[in-house]
Amino acid sequence: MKKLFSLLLVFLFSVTLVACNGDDEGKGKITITFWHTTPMGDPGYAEISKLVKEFNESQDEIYVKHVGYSFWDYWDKLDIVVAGGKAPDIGLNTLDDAKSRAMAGQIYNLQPLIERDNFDTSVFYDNQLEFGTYNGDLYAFPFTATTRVLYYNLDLFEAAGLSEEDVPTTWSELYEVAKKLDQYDEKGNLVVLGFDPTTQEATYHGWLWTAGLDFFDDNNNPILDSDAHVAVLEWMRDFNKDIPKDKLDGFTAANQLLGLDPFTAGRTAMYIANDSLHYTLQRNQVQFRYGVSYIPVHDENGVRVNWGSGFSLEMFNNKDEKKKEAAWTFYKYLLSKEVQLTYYHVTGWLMANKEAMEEPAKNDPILARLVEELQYARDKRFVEYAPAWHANDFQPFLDRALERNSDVKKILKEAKDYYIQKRENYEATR
Amino acid sequence: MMKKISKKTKRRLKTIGIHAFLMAVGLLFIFPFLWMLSTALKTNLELIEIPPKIWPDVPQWGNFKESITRIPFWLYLKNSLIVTGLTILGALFSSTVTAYAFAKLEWPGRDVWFIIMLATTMIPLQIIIIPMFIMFSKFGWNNTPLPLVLPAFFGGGQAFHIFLVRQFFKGIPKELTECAIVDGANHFYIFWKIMLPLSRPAVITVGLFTFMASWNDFFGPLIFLTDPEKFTLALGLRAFQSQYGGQHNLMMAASLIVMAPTLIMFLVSQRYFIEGIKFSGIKG
Repeated sequence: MKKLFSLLLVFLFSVTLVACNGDDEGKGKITITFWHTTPMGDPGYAEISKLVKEFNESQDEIYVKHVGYSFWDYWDKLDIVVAGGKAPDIGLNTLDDAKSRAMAGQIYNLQPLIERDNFDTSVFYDNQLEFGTYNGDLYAFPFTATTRVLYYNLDLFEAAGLSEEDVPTTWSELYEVAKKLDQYDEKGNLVVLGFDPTTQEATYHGWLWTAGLDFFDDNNNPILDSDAHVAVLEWMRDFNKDIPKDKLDGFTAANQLLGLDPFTAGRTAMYIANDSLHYTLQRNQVQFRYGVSYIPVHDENGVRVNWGSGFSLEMFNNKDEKKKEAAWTFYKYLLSKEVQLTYYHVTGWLMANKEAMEEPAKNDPILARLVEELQYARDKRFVEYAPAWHANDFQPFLDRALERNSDVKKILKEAKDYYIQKRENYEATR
Repeated sequence: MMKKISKKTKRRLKTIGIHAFLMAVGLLFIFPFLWMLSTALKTNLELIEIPPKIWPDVPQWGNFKESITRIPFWLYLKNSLIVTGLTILGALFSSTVTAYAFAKLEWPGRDVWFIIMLATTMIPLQIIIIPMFIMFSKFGWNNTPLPLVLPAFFGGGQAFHIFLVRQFFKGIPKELTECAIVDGANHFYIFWKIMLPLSRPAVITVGLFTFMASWNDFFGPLIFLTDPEKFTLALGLRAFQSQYGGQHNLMMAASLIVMAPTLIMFLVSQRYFIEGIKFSGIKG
C-alpha cells in the first residue's frame, strides 16, 4: 500500500512539474499567440519558426509564440477555443465566412488601424478584400488565394490522338473531347474517364456561374427552379449517361479504394480542382505531363469564372488593447511580400499578396496560369441564413438529382422551398 | 477399388481443415497490420503506384528512424506515459471504489443511481466539450495535462468500468464479506484485502481498457493542450497528415511504434483480460 501511494505521489509530482512548466522566452515583453496549420514535424515548420524568430529578434516589446496544428484538426480546435473565449491573438481562418465572425464581434475591426498606418491594401485582390469587409470596414485580410481550373493529362490526350490545342473551352467541346478520352479494358471495365462534371470541385454553383446564372438573387432569395437552372443540372447528370452505371460505379469505387484522387492516379483525363493539386502532383513527382486551363464555359451565355476562396488572417477580439497593437504589428509582417513568399514555398498555397506570387510564377508556367485565373475567381456568396448553402444544405438535393432519370425540376423546387423555409426560420428566431 | 479412409486420417484431415480455415481468418484479421507495415516501408513513389505493390522493392527501414526524428518523439512519449499512467491510476481508484459501493453496500436509491450512472455513457463528448473547456479554463487547467487526468480520479468517463467491476464484485459470494465482518473487518479492509485481490482479472481489464483509451486519445489532448511541448504521441502523429494527404509511410512507421506498447500490454495480460471480459459477460 505504501508503495502504491509513493508511486501515486511520484506521478502527481511529475504531472505538476509538467503542468507548471513555464516558458521564460519573451519574459517582460507582450506575448501574443499565432496559430497556423503547419504542425511541428511538418517539413515547413522550421521555416515558419524562422519567420517568427526573425520577427521576435526585431522587436523589443513584442514576443510571438506560434503553434501549428494539423490542417485537419485546426478548425475543430479553433471553433472550440473561440466558443470558449480563449482564442489565439492571430490565426488563420476561412475567408468566406469572416463576415459572420465580424458580426459576432469575435474579430477586431481593422479599418481604424489600416487608416492610421496608411496600410497599402492595393496588393490584394478586391474580390477577396470584399469578403473580409463588414458594414464597410475591413475585418480580415486574405492570407491565401484559391482558384479552380481544368487540369488535363497530356499523355492521355496524346494517346487519344488529341493535343493541347484540343483542350476544351466550352461545354460542348468538353463533352466531345471527354468522350474521346474514355477508355475501357478488354472486359469492358472503365479504366480512364474523360471527365466527370459532378466531382467535389466541379460544383453545381460553379457550373451555374459559367452559364451566367446564380443560386440566389441580389436579395439572397433562392432562384433555383428556372428552366435554365434545371438544364444545367440535367447536363451534369447526363454527361456520362453513355457509360453503363455499374461500370461507372465500379470505377468510382476503385478510386476510393486507391485513396488517391483519380487525376493523380492517371485515371481521369480532365479534372476540375484547385491550385493545390499542382503542388500535390509536383510533390508526388507524377510520371505524366499535364497542363491547366480555365473551366469551360456555357456555349451561349458563357462567363469565364471560377470558384475562388482562401484563408483569412484574423485578429481575435481578446479585449486587450496592448495585445491588439502587438498583434497588428505582427499581422502586417505576415502580409508582407517576403513573408508571403516564404509561406508559398512552405505550403504551396497561392498567397493573397499579388507581389509575392510574381517571382515563383516566372519559373513555373502552370503556376503562372493559376495566378492568371485568380482575377476570374469569385467567392461564394455569404448568406446569413444559410452559411453552408453550397455544401451540407444542398448536398442531399444534389445527390438525388444526380441519380439517373431523376426529376431535376421537382428536386430543385424542393431545394428552393427548403431555403425559403430556412430563411423564414432564421428571421423568426434572430 | 478405393481404399477406405481410416478414422485417424479423417480426424487428421478435419484438424488440417480447421487449422487452414483459422489461418485464413487470422490472415484476414492481420492484413491491415501487414498493410501498415508494408506502407511504412515504402518510398513516396511506391505509395502512389498503380496497381499498388503488396511489398516494396527495397524496404525503407530508415522510415522508422525518420518518423521518430521528424517529431519530438521522446518528449511526446514522456507526455503520453505521464498522462496514461495517471489516468490508469485514477480509473482504477474511482472504478473499484464506486463499484464496491454499488455491489456490496446497501444504501437508499442505490439501483436508481446505478442506472443514472450507466446512462452517462450515452452523452456524446461533443455535447459537453465546450462547457468542459470553459470550466477547465476557469480553473486555469487548460494547456496542462490536468483535464486529461483528474476526471478519471472522480469517475469521469468510467461508467463502463464501474459496471464491469461491479459485475465482478457481485459474483463474489456474500458469505465471504459477511465472515469478514463477523471477524471485525471494516469495509475498507474488505475492499482492500478481499475484494481487490479476488478481482484481479476485472481490475487488469479496466487498466488495459483505460490504457488503450488514454494512449490513443486524440481529441482530449487536441482540445486541452496548446503548447507542442505538452502534446501526446497520438496528437503528435498528426503532423504527418498534411493538407495534401501527408506522408503515409512515415505516419505508418510512427503508428507501428506507438502501437507496440498496446500490443505488449495485451500479450502480457491477455489471460486476465479474457477472464475479466468472460466474467462480466461483455464481448469486446
